[in-house]
Amino acid sequence: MLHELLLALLGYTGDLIVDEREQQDTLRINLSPDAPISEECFTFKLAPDISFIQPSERDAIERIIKLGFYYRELDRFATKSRNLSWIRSSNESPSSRTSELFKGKKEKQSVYRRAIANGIAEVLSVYRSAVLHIEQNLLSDSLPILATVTQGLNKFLVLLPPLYELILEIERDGYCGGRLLNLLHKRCHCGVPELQTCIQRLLWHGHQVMYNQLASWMIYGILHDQYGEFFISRLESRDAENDSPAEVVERLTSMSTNDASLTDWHSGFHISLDMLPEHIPMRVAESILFAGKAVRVLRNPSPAIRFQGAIAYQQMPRGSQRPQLSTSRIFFTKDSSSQNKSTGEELLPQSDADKIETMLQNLKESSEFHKRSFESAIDSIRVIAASHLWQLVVVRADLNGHLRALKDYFLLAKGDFFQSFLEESRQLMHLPPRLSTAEAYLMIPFQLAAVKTIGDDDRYFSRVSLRMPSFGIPVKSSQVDLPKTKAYVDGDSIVQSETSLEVPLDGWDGIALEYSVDWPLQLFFTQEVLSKYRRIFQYLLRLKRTQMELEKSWASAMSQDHSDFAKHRNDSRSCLTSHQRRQHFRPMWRIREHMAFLIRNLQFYIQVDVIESQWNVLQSHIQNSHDFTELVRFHQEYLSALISQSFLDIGSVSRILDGIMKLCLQFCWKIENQESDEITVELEQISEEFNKKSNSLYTILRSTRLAGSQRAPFLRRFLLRLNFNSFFEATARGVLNVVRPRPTLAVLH
Amino acid sequence: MPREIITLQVGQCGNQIGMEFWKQLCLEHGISKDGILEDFATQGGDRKDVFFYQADDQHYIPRALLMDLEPRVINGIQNGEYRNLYNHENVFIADHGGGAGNNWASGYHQGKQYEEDLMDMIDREADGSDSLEGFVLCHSIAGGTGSGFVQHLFQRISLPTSQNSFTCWIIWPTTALFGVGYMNNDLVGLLASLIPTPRCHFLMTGYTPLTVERQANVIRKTTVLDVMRRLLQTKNIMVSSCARTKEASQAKYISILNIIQGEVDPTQVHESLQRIRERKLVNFIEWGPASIQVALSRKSPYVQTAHRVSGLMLASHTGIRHLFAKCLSQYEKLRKRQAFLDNYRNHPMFADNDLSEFDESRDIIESLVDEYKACESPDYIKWGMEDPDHLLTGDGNATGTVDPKLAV
Repeated sequence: MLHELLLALLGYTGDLIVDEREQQDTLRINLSPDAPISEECFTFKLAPDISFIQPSERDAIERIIKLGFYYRELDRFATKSRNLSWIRSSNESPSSRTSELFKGKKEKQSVYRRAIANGIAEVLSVYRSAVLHIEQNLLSDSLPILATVTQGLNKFLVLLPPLYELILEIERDGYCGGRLLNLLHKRCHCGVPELQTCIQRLLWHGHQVMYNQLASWMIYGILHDQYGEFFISRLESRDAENDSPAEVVERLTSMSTNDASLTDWHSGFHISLDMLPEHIPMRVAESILFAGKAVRVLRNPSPAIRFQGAIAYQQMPRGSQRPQLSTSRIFFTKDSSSQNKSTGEELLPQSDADKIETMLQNLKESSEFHKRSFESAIDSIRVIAASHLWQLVVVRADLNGHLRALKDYFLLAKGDFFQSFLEESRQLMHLPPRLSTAEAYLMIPFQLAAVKTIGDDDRYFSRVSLRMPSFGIPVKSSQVDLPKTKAYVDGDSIVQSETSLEVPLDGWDGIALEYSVDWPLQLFFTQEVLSKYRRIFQYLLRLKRTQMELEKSWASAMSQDHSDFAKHRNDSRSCLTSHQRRQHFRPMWRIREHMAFLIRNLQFYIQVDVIESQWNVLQSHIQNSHDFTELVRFHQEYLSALISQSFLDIGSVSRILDGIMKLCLQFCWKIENQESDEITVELEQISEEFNKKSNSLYTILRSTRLAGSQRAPFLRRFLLRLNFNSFFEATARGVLNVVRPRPTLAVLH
Repeated sequence: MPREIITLQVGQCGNQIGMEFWKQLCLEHGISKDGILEDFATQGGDRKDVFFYQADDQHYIPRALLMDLEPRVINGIQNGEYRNLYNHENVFIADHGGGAGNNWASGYHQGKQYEEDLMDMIDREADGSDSLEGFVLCHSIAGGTGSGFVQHLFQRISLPTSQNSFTCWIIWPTTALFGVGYMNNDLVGLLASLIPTPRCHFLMTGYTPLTVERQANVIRKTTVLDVMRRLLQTKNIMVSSCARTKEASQAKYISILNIIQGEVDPTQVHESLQRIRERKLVNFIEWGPASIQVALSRKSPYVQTAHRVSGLMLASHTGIRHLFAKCLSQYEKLRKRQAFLDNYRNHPMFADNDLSEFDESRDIIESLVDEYKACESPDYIKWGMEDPDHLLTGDGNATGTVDPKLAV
């Protein structure tokens, strides 16, 4: 009898102890095979027809033999989950009967579940050995009693039922991956110490899988995740198709120019929230994602950099004026020793990879999941990865040099180059651009300017190229893309574009720059970043062009004045008319000065107050930071500060500024083309319009709405420059109080 | 190739100043006294070719023309330690070596004589540059060579090169000196911003900290605010305007450009501007927008100075009218007594007692003084509109030294 009991405890029923379910099945054959097992609490029972057992004994036995049932079910789960036979043939059905119930459902394989099953098998083996031990006791005991069994297995009474519940839940809801860990983690919090240890053990098994995945991800940059259970997953290409066309275009362009590894970096991987265990915070998960991606990049350098490696090192010390030098030298010397090793290894030295591995190994071995130590380990791994990536991008790829080059060209820090370019192309730009040839024509002054001002000194210049966007490839220049393109279609002339103030003055405003970056700098200078640079560039170039035209008109007016003066000297009789002529010009001088003042101060403000000071901030950040992610953030901040502080993102202000620049150019051309003495009505209209605009600019800038916003500090700077002698304020007040209606005002065209 | 600037140094003062200018420039660009680039300066990336060109043997030669009617100063330069710097073809000394005797007419007349030689030199120098930015002229306003000779030269040059700008560093007989920092802008841009109206084009310069070598141990604290504040003090302005205090207080700035050299954080500039405005340290015109423009430039890495920051101010200031007014009154005194006139009558321009040149100059100066005065009042805009005959008032009698066309 006792042996019968022991056998039942290991899941083998017989005549004495029967499986209720089998009974029921035979009774009610029509039971739906899909009926969830959990709903009915089947268990083992003592056969009801046994009469020689006392009710109390029956109770005790029935209480104990439940364990047998649980054991069987758990064992079934373990075997099924650990069964690898599906590898050979997916059709073969798992042995146990209940799993056939599941076969209908799409059973998902899961590494995590297998790991849990391992854990359960472990528990079961303990249980088995306990049963074995009891049997030995019973055999050796002269008077075997039931109590031995009860006493030996009592502790399993608290363990197996919850475990059974657990596997039921797992099977019912198909838990896997991070969600499985979640479930276990939740179950861990119970008041029964034995159960807690046991589930923790299971959790440990689950975590083993996670650590393995983490290790392959963060040491080798390989996503090892057969069943989509890791919380970092590859973005399906299916998702990409749902993106907006622009993004697709962007992706395509980036695909064509970059390696696959870069696409991986930007869009290849993401954190799948579904699989993220709740006990791992999002922040940490992002660190893991980053570290893995970084390692991926470091492990798979583009072929180009292997060649470049040596060259880049030789070139590095040349930029002796760079402040970065001291740091880069240190790295330079440190690294050059390992030059003979393969590049990939150099990017992520074996010692550091080992370090990461050890850290993960330690985590793996600790029996419990310590949130703190996990997070700190992940953090230090991230730091390792980030600093290597930093070294790759900043030191090896000479990030600072590229930043400076971008500032030189996109932010017009190389003023003499653009001065010369604009001068060379001035004649060309007096005519409206022709779509097909504009870019080719512009190349000539561009190259000329380069020869004159840059020469061979700047090795970054070769990366810069000029683009004159033609129809079909929209450039994200400003908010007015659509009308501009329309104007192009209408017959590439500036006339159309003048119909609305929101449209740039002429097609030449579309001039843009391209900057080609090598691997791995695309990680840093994404298309998005470059398009921001381009936007600022177009704004600045227009500003510069306006300023230059105003200066040209100053020079021509000045020489005009001189020649008038000379005439007056030579022929004193005509001096009256000459003098009148001068008086005649006086309003022109005034309005020119007003325009030039505004443009000049705007330019000074942007170049000095905004760009220079933000640049200094960025530089100090770059010098103090050795972390790639931080750098990206700083650079983003830098760019957005540039955009917001130059008012590119305030529609009302940038519209007025556009209008003002346009008026200035019109003014200059009128001055230049005027043949006779008469200062035309048009000039007067332009002046009128300009005064109005400059007033409204001032009024908007000092309005309380803007003054209260976050922009206030740098707005005040611009205002201070503009209104230094209170002229603007006085004029604005005058205009506000005295409205002088002019009939000519409305019709400019 | 950059936009080149050719320096013309004329007369005693012009050549002395010019010499100092080149000394400083050589220091800043790391060029030795023989025109050879110093070893430490090979990586500079600075714009040496604006002011220099390279000879076949790679040594740097200033784009400078040295001219004088008497040999003393130039001989001094040619025997000095910088003798190998200049191109000797670029030196012009009049054959007779007699100078112009502090006589404008003599200088002007001699200018006519040597015209062809000089233009040849200038043409040759100008041909050596791809895109000439302009000329910088160093000369004194007093004296014969500096004034008369230069004027003739100027008239000649300005005809074919009206596209280029002309900057004259004029040395007034009272005071002296000028300073030039790195110019990172082009000259037109620099000047256009300073001269809002065509006539008021006489700029004043200020420089701080101004030290003579023996005082160099006195180190002042140089912050941006400090420098900018000092620049506005009259004692640092290099043209003393001889005004009485009451009138001086009415003088106004038409425009100011500060070039600050050194390591400067742009935010400091803003703060300084704010301070200056709050404290009302500057008096600006009221009839148009005006402000202090600040251009930042780097310091030469090759020159060690005790000062962290130094500043140069270029300003258009109505106070300069007092200088002209004083000239005018002195001139009238001389003219009344017919002093020195004989010297002038010897020259063809003033032959037959034709002194109309003097009268015209006087008128021009007077109208200039008037215009500057009008600039001080807020309704300058209307000035001259209701008084078209203004220029014709005033008849003078005369000896004169200044012709306003010479400047800028």
